Amino acid sequence: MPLELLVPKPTSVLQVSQNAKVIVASAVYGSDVKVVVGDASSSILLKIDSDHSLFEPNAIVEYLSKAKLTSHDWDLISIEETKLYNLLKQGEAKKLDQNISQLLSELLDKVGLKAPLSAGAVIVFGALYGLVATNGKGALSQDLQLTLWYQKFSGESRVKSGLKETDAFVIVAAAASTASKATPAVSTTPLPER
Amino acid sequence: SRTNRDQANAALVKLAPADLTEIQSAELNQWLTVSGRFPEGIEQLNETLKTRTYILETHEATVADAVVLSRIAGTVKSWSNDEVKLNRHIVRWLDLVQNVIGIKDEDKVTVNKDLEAPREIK
Repeated sequence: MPLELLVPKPTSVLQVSQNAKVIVASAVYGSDVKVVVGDASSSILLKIDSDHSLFEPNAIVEYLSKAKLTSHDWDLISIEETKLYNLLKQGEAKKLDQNISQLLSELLDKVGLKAPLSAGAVIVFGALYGLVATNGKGALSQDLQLTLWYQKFSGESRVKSGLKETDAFVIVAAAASTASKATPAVSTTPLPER
Repeated sequence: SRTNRDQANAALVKLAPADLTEIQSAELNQWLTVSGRFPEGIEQLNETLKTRTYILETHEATVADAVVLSRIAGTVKSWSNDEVKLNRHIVRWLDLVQNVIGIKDEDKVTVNKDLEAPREIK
């Protein structure tokens, strides 16, 4: 029986990132996962069985990857959970700090040698996807190596197939979640280039 | 990254992460991430503890209980009576965990067990 992954229609750049992480993970790791896009008031949830579910996106990616993570992966995840998360939470996504993008590039380079689609890479990609969704690729322009990594990762066939779930990546107006159902959701952000 | 208090509390539990099942390991990662963002996620913790003695549904306290305890103790200490009632499952769990893992008395959070809260519909 497939696992069920519920993702909301996003109302913020942070939610776009969180959706990207779990949807890409479900596509990349070939897991038997059924993705369901809920309304804007729902939350990310991976139902594992009748008694167990996960709601935190990074934990979901790690669970789906079924792999033992390297220290480089944990370093990537640590940067994502602090620096990138806080940046995305600000709402109006800013450009990446040069020191952070350089550090990410170095770690992604090391991770890429053994497992280019590791959980650490998927988690960082999801976070960057949110930044690119709101600021375009200029968000990564501080670091050419990181931009190249992002392009290569997003061009991978399994990643591309995951990112086809458009409803999960187009930001809808927050009020739409509480307003009358007759009110159409308003797209405020163009999809990032794929 | 864990603080010194996280490390000290984690050292008090006997059950090693290697003893956890695949799902419990995933839940451990989840709570280590979520507890780093408290007060975000406190509601979810209270909901989880509604039906569990320990966070990972184990028979004894794990590193998840120890680390989450270290990260929430200061917040619980500052709660008003209404907040204690609202988060009663966290308060019950905290009182249990701080006693079973052997937190020093001077570091324990004093829990008011006499507050009456309306019965919850489960």
